[in-house]
Amino acid sequence: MALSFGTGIIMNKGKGPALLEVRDLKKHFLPRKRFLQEQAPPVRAVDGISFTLQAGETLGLVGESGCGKSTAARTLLRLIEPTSGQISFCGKNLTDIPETEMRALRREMQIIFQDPYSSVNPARRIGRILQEPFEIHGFQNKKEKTEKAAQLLERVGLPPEHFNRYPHELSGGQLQRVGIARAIALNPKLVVADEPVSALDVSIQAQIINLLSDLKEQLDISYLFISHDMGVVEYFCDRVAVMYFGKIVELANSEQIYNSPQHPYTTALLNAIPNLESGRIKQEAPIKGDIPDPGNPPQGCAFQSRCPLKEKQCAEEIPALKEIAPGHYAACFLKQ
Amino acid sequence: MFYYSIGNSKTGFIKDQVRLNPFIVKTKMPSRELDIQDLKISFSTPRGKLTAVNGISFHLNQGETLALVGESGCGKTVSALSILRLLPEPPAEILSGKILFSGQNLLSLNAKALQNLRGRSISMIFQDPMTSLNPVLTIGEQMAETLLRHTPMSRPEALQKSADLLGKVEIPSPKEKLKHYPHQLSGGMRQRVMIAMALACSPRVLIADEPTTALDVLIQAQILELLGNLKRETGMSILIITHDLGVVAEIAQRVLIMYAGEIVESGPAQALLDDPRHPYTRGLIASVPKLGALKKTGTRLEEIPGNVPSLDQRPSGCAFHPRCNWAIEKCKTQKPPLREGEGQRQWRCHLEPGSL
Repeated sequence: MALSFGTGIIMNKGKGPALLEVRDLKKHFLPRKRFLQEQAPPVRAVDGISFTLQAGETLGLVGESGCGKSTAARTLLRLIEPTSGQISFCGKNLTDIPETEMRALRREMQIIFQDPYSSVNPARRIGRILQEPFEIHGFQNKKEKTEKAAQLLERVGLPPEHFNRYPHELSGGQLQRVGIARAIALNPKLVVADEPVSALDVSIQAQIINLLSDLKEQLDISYLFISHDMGVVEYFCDRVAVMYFGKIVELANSEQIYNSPQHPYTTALLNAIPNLESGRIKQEAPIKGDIPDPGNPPQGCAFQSRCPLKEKQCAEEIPALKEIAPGHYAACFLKQ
Repeated sequence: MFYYSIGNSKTGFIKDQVRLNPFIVKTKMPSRELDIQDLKISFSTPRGKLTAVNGISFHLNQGETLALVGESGCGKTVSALSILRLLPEPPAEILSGKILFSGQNLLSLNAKALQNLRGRSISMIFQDPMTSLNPVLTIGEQMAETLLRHTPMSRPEALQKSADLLGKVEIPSPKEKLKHYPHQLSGGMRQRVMIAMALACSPRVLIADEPTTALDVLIQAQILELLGNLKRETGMSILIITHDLGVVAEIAQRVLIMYAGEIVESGPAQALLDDPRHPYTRGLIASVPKLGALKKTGTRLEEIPGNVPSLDQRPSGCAFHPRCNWAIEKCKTQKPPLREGEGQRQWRCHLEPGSL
């Protein structure tokens, strides 16, 4: 029962109400108007994306830098205000509730950032950083707060002596554990992980991915997992949405995405992953070109400038995201 | 004339000539472009003198792509910078060792001789093209600088050559791009400009320090392909520094794995990736999720426990022992011996071969 309206689709197939339902979400940024010049057209960072996230599910959001994946994450937590669209979380529409109510709802939806050093206050001790969520959400008892913060440290696998350390005394991996601890402090239902392992050393990445998996089991968290690493996403996510130039171009469960990609952009992303086993033998040459200039978007399909399969229609119309197989959505004329 | 009929491109000609002439193949052992012997580098800090690179030796063969792999803080970038003497001295200090480039020890050259070498015989490209290009000079001005410094070209000639070089690294409309400033180009384009600049004087050795780390996967694939093509065309040798084993699999012929200031394993790339001998190498390979290999049904990624040791807390004995699942008593106190295997494999470990 896929309803289609505009470029957005609802994908909710009778599994009960979704935890998160995003409908035609847009975030446009207006460039600063220069003196005596005409207002430049808005940059369509997120341009009408729709998806649902079921409770207990992990949805991967992949794409190159500048495709709008981080903006999408921040917009749907209302860390930045959306331009238009609807976000419903646990049945509540986030776009038209006041800030006070939003703040209470934030207990249920948390975020982990890419760079652990810039996402904590460098002048505060770890223990203090971990107590802050409790303070904001009304726990005043000092002893209780300290206990809870200490429990959190243990839960993310950090030794108790880190409680009194400062962020600069921790390594990147350890500090990312603090970021995770802070995010799970209030038992959220949804955690948005924005490139949580990209800034970490290779040998540490696996530790953090395993920690996120364990917490999912223990605390029943649903993740929106943002990454550009297709390997990690396949391992970690149940479903994957591929974003390009502000739009979702393909959405399916991860077996479908990885075994039978339908959008040429997804295929290109998969081909670009170096394979340790087969070594230097590459099946296909990498696609040419760059993402289009956001200030001067192309007519028609945004991927046409790099697409090896481009046809005449692609330069004229924007392909809509359509269901091409059960649960498998792609925005490409060639597949519709 | 006979040779020309075999391959029409210049590279094809050279390659085929070598293949057809058994004399060249048999007598010519790969000559060493760079030979680094027992290099030891330390930094003076408020916490005392810290050893960043602890006596490493390796060589770069002519026409080879050698990858130096390690995590942050293992000393890989410091080693690379020291080759062109780009480390600030002090605080850095090269305590011992030799860096031989065509028989000459670079560590004994004076500043002027080094300047003549940099950019002409040995070039370098860096991780972040935005911070390594000058933001207030146009691309053309920056590119011409190298050529004017090292060749007797006039300014218009240098600019023409710059445009040719930009064309060679597949930058569209190179003439116009000469007038652009770095911020007007995308990350991938900037990295191409860096590569074009590095290649301006046809260096014999290119040192690439994490050239694709700041780039997206698709752009990374483009840059790696470009480097491979350029190497084939010019016959230069590449030393690529990376933390990404995918990059290694993609372009390297030989690999050096560094951990805590030492080379713990080296060998031909594919053999090393297929059959790692050092526990650290094995852990690195295992912690990368392989496409299609793992199903999500409860399998955990294999992880290397613990953290990368900081410079002032390097463990005794084998530096990897606190994180090693196979560590035995001996590892805590004694430096592991250098073991050698068939096919140029070398590694440093107390474990008997085959016990991983």
